[in-house]
Amino acid sequence: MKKTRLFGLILVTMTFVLLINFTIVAETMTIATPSDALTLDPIMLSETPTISVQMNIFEGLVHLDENMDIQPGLASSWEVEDDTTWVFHLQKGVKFHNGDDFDAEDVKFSIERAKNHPKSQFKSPVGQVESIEIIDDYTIAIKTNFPYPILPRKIGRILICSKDYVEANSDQHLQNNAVGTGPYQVSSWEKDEEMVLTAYEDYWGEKPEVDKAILKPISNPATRVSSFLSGEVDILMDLPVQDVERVEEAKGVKVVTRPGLRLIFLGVNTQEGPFSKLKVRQAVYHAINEDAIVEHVMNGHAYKAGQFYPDTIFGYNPDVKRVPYDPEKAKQLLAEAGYPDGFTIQFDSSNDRYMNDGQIAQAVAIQLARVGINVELNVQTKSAHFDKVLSRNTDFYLLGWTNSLGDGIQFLDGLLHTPEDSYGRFNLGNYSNQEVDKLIEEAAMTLDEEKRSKIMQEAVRIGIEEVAYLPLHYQQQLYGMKENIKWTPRPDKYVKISTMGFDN
Amino acid sequence: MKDLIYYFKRDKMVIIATIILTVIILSSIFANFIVPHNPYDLASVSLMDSMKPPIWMKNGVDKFLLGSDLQGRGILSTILYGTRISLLVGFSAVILGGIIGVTLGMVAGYFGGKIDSIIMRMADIQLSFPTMLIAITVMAFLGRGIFKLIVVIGLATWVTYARTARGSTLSIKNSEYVEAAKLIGINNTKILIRHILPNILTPIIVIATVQIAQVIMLEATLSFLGIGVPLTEPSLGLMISDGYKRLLSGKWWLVVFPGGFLVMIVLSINIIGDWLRDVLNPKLK
Repeated sequence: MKKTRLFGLILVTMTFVLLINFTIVAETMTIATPSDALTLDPIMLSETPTISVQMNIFEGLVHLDENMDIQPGLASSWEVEDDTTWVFHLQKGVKFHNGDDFDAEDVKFSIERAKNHPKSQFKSPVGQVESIEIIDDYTIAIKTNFPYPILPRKIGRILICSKDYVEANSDQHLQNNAVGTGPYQVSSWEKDEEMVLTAYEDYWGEKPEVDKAILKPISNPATRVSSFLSGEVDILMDLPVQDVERVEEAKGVKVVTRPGLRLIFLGVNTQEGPFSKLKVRQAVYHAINEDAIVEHVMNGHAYKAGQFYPDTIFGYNPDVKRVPYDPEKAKQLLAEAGYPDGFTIQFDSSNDRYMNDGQIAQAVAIQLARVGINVELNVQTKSAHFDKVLSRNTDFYLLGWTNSLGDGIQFLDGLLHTPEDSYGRFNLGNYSNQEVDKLIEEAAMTLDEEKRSKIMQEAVRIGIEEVAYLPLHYQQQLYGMKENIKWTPRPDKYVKISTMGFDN
Repeated sequence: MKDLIYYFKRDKMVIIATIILTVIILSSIFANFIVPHNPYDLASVSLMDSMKPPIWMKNGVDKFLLGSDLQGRGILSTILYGTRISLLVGFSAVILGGIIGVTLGMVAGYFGGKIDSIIMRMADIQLSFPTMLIAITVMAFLGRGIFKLIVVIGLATWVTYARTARGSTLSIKNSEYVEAAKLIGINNTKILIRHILPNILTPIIVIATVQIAQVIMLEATLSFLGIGVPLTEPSLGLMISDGYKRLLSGKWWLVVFPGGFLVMIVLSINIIGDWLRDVLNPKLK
C-alpha cells in the first residue's frame, strides 16, 4: 500500500516536471515594432510594417534570403521555357491554416486577384503578367508581355491565399482574418496593442524554433527603448541612434546593426533653375561633407553612398565612387557655371520620415551656405512634404528610396528614366537622358544576368556622372536584442520570426 | 509714479526679477556684440563642432561656454539669439493682440447695442476654442515663420483684452467728464482715444504683462511641436524640442540651459506682472 502511494507520488511529480519542462520548451518571443500591420489582406497595402507581419503568415512562390538572393518558396523550382514563358513547379503537401489544400488554382487566383482587384496595391509586380495557365495541379506557366527577367523577384511579392477561403468571405472579413500557408498563424490581434502569432502545426517546411511571437507596436521611440530596457520585450526594432550608447551599456542586451537598403538622397530639378546646369549639381555634390553627416548627425550609424543602391543590390557598379568633399572646387565650379556669388534656393525636407531627416537637411543647408548657396529650409511633416514633392512642386528636396526587390532596376525605372508611361514615376526632377533611357529599356528585356548587370551598371555610371541625384547615405538598421537571441535581421526589414532562435 | 517707486523699493522679489529681466533683454538685444558667433549665419556653423559639452566638462572647448548643439551652434549664442526671437514674438504679439482687443472692446462698450452683441459674441465663440488649438491649426496651415507666428498669436489672444476694455469702458462711459466731452461736440473717435483710453489703461497694462509671459510660452510650445519658427533660426522652444530627444543619452546641456533660461524669463515677467496688479489695483491696497 505504501509502495503504491510512493509510486503515485513519483508519478505525479514526474508529470509536473514534464509539464514544466514542456512550458519551458515552448519558446516565446516578444518584439517591439514601430507600427502595427494595417491589414492582413496581402494585396491591400504595400507598406513595409504591414508586409513584414504578413510575411510570417503567408508565403509567395519564391522568397528572398538575408542576402536578397532568390530562394524557393511555395514553388520548389522554376524554369524559363521561352523568352516570355516561365514554368513554376509547386510544393506538394502544403496545407492552409484552415485545412484547405494548396494547389495551382490558389496561385492563379492569388495572382489574378492582385492584378484585377480594384483596391489592389500590388498591380505593378504583376503588371507584365499576360496570362497564367494551369498545366496540372502542381505546375503553372506564366506568360509575360515581353521578356521579363525580374519576374521571379516580382512574383515573390504576391503572397498566396486560399481561393476557396477568399471567395467565401468579404474583403472586410479578410482585413482581419488571415489564412495562409506560412509558419505562423494569428491567434489574437488587438489593433495597436499586440498581435499574437503561434506556430502552425501542419507547416510543410522546417519547424521554427520560436513557438509563439508577440508583436507589440510602440510608435514612440523613447517608450520603445524603455520597454526594451525594462525587459518587457526581447527584440526592439528601429533603435534610435541617440540611444545606442545607452543600450550598449545596459546588461543582458546587445545592439545589432545591419546595412539597410534605404538610400537617403537629394533630388534637384534638372530642367529649370540653377540645378539645370551640370556644373552647379557637381558643385553641390562636392560641397557636401557626407563623412561629417554620417559621423555627427547619424552618430556613425549610416554608410556613405556613392551611387543609387548598395552593393547587395543587383546592378551595383563597383567602379563608381563618391566624389571627394572639396568646398574650394565647389566654389570654382559655381563660378564657372555663372554663379560666383552663389544663389538662393528653397530646400524641402521632412522631419519625421527618415532617421534624423530634419537634422540632415539642416546640415546640408549649413554646408551649402559655406560655398555661397543660400538655402531656405522648408522642413515639414511627412504628409505635407510628400504632397509637395510628389506633385513636382520643388527644385531641391530630400527623399529616401528603398530597393525592396534586391534589384536595382526599381530605382532605374522609377527615378532615372525620363518620366513617361509607367517609367520615371518618382523622377521628380525630370532628369532625362536618351542614352540612359535606352539602357534601362534594354535591361528590362535582357534575360542574361551578366549582360543585364553590365547594362544597368552603365546606366548608373552615367546617372552619377551627370549628378541626376546626389546620394547621401544608406541607413543602418538598428536593433536591440536580449543577449541569448540568435537572429540576423534582413536588409529589407521584414521580420521573419521563423529565422529567429535562442542560444542556450 | 512716486507710489510705484515706493512700493518697488520695498519688494525684493520684484527688484531681483526686474534686474534679471533687464539683463536678459539687454543681452539678447546686444547679442551680436556679446557672443563670438552668430548661430543664424549658416556659413559660420560647422558640423565638426557638434555636441561639444560645456567648457568645464571633459572634452569641453573654449569656443563654447555652455557647449554646442548637433549642428555645431554654440548653446549660449543660440540662447541669446533665440531669446531675442522669443521676446520679439512675445512683445509684438501682445501689442498686436492688445491693439485689436482694446479697440474692439472699447467700441463694444462705448456704443453698446448691436455692435456690442456682435463683437462680444465673436469673442465668446473664440473663447470656446483653446488658444493653443487655434494657434496650432492656423500655423499648421500657414507653415513656419516668425511674422506668421506673431500674427497668429496676436489674433488668437485679443479676446482677453477686449473683455477687460469693454468692462472698463462701460464703467466710465457715463462719467461726467465723458458726458461733458460729448456735450461740447467732440466726436466719438476723439472721446474714445483722448478720454476713455487713458482711464482704462491700468488693467490693460497688468494683463499685457502677464500675457507676454504666456505668449512666450505659447511660442515655445509651438516651436517645440515643430510648427513655430524656422529650423535654421531656433528659438528657445525649438532648442528644447531638439534637445529633449537626446536628454536620455546624456546630452543634458542641449535642454537644461535653454529650459532654465525660459523659466527665468517667464518667472520674472510673472512676478513683475503680479506685483503690478497688486500695486495698481486700488481695492487691494
